[in-house]
Amino acid sequence: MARRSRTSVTDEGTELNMTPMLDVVFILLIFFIVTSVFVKTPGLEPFKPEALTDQAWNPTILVAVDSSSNVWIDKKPYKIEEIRPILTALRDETPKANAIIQADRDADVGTVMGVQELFQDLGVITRVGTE
Amino acid sequence: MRRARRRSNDDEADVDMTPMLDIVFIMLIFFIVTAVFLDETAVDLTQPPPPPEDQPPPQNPPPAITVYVDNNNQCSVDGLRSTCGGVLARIERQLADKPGASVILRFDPEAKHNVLVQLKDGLDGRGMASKIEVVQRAS
Repeated sequence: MARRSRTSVTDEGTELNMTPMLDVVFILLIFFIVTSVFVKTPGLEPFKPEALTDQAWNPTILVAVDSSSNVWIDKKPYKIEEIRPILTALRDETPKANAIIQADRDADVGTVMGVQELFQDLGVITRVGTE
Repeated sequence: MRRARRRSNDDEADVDMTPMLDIVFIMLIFFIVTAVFLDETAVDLTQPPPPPEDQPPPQNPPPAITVYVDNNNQCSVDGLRSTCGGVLARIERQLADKPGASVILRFDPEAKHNVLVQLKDGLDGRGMASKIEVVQRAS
């Protein structure tokens, strides 16, 4: 009994060397700060078409088009006529941005290509998302 | 000299790192939670800009195969009805008649996006260049 209590007291007394853990924590912190991209997600995940020739794409502007051809930006639906100022603002926030249009399979071609045309007018490189 | 000694004393004194650690952990958790890892694949549907207006059109434009998809997603190749799945085979047959022809994909604005991606993907997969046009109620 006496021996056990004495050991625990000495254990508490010894200082843990936290330096290696701190190193790891800092490295993790810096990793997450550097890789964090504050992307405004559209707020829905459309049922995108499949394609064989698709390629990986790293966008910073995400726009979704749902099956009733609403354009979703930052979790809000818009009509295509009203998105030009919003896209301009997004482009001005990140001038070197790449964009992706995540369109539903049932979306209208006119809407998808219209959004793409707007992006091209604004000088943003755009791709259309696939599964 | 005396100053240097004092500084070395300061170094040896234990700094209480607990508050800083708390902040670092909170930041770490914040960044882990807010991190968005995007894993997107995409196809390129962008079109080259139209040629300048003042430039005369080429004298002998290469022959073209026109695919039209109407608002009910009915496909036709050079005016002939076809199933959308059979468009690619039909284009290949047409290419035998018109060697070197370019393909124009013409869509009604109300056609479905999936049809466009399927056709464009199929043409790209076969190495055929194609151009996408969205037209209002054209014949």
